[in-house]
Amino acid sequence: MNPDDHAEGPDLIRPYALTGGRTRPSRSDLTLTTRVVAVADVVEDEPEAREIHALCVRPVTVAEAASRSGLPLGVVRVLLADLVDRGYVMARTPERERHRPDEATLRAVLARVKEL
Amino acid sequence: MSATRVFGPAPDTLKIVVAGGFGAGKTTLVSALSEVEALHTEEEMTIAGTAVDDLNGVETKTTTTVALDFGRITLDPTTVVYLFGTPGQRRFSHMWEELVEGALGAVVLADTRRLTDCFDVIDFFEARRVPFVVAVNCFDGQSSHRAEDVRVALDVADPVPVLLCDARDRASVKGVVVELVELVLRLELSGA
Repeated sequence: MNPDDHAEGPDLIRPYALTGGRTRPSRSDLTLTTRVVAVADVVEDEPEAREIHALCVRPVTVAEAASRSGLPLGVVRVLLADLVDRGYVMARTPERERHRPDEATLRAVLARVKEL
Repeated sequence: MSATRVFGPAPDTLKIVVAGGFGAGKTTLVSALSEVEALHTEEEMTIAGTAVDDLNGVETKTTTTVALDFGRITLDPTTVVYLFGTPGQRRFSHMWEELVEGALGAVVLADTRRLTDCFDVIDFFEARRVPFVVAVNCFDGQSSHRAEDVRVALDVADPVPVLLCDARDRASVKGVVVELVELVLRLELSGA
């Protein structure tokens, strides 16, 4: 798919047609800040899957992959979950999703934000 | 294949949620701090219900598209802050659950012309004990409202900082984030 296709006017395909109508991903561990990276070449000939796969050549977050693809987040999550299931993409969710930052981290963050 | 070899060392990832009504300046605020051009992603959602968008008498199930703003700040090679902008009205609350999961805290961006747009998300943050600050966007650079008046109008408790800001101005937005991190630090130290 030409990336420019998304920039020009409304898409002619309803977004979830790209996922075979599925609106829920096959796995629930892909959060907005989960990082995904391509680890193997896609062999199937699915343009959208290839496009998403190409966006993950370097580790990116799910949110960033969705933004760059121009596809709705929900669609990208379904496609990414498929790629992870098939072993083309690896995913890692930050520990921070499970723990609040401690005092030392907060102080370091505060100092660095002030330096911005 | 080990995850560490593929991804490198895990960066410390912090999440800040920016919530406000349409036109309150969320995209502008995220753009002011983000090192990448503030990115957009869209989420299709279905609204079952009544005249949610002031379309008189329209009572059908409608599909609408919600933009989610997304920005990134790399504080150092191992610490990254992600900013997520989301609409502040109840009908978008399905997105808030995931956004606040593990979030450092939130900024409620208030537009004094439409303060009611903030009520739902403030209720939500209070109920979930998500630390938040209220930033009043002064679009025209003049502070025709006092922060204290906004505090009273929004009925937020004393520990919640309410400050004026200019969402276009990097230094001003930085001040908002500093205020939020200081709040989270105070809460951490007080054991709250």
